[in-house]
Amino acid sequence: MKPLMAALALTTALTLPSLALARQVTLTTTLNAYGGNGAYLALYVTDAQGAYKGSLWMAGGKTKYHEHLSDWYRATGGNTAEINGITGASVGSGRELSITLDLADALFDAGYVLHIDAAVEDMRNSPSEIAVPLTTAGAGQPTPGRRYIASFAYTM
Amino acid sequence: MKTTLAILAATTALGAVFALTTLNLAHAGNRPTAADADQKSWVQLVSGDDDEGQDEDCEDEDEDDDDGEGEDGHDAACLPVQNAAPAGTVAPPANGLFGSTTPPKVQVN
Repeated sequence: MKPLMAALALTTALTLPSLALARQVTLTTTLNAYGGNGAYLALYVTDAQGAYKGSLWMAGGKTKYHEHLSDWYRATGGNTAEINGITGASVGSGRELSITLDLADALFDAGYVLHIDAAVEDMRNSPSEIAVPLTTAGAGQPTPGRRYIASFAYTM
Repeated sequence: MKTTLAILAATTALGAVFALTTLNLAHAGNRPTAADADQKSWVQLVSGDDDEGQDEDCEDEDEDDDDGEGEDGHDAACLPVQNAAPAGTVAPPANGLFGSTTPPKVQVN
């Protein structure tokens, strides 16, 4: 009986840490009152070498406009498989977009960078308007944008 | 003793299931999978709508203009466009970024 107990205790101890492999993160993007149509936003992650890792959210559902999110489009070729299940509506001028999702723990403090490309109809494209390293120390720190985005912050 | 054994067995089983799910996600990488293809076709079948995905520029406004037409006579720019599946209709992509298959919660203020 004792070896059985020991084995079960060991396997429990080994498997429980996996429960901590993800953390709930809220990404908050506040737009400037730029006065145009709804902004398309692509939120995606690159690794420490700058290589595209994957997408977290696409605000704006019409594929034909995604080419204006130029850094994201260059990395993905506009492949919709990258954003299936993580696509929503575009975001209006002056509005705030909050996305809460479970992110892999391995993304933090490992050189990964969260990017936001922005584009608005009949206005200039704004690739990588936000590029912020994913670190635990950076949580809650607002980062200003350049054109359409007033600020971006992530909390966990 | 029996109770302790039962609790340990249950936590082990739950932990193992969760770990396998998470590790599968973490190691899936960016490669499109057969599941992605299946999801795509499924979305195509159920997204029956409106003009989502149709290019408004593809009206019959320039019938005499051969520019952009392929050999089959269709304007290449006017082929149906497949939009991405909206959040909540399919699981997020298995790109290793997400810690679970739970769809993101979104709020616009």
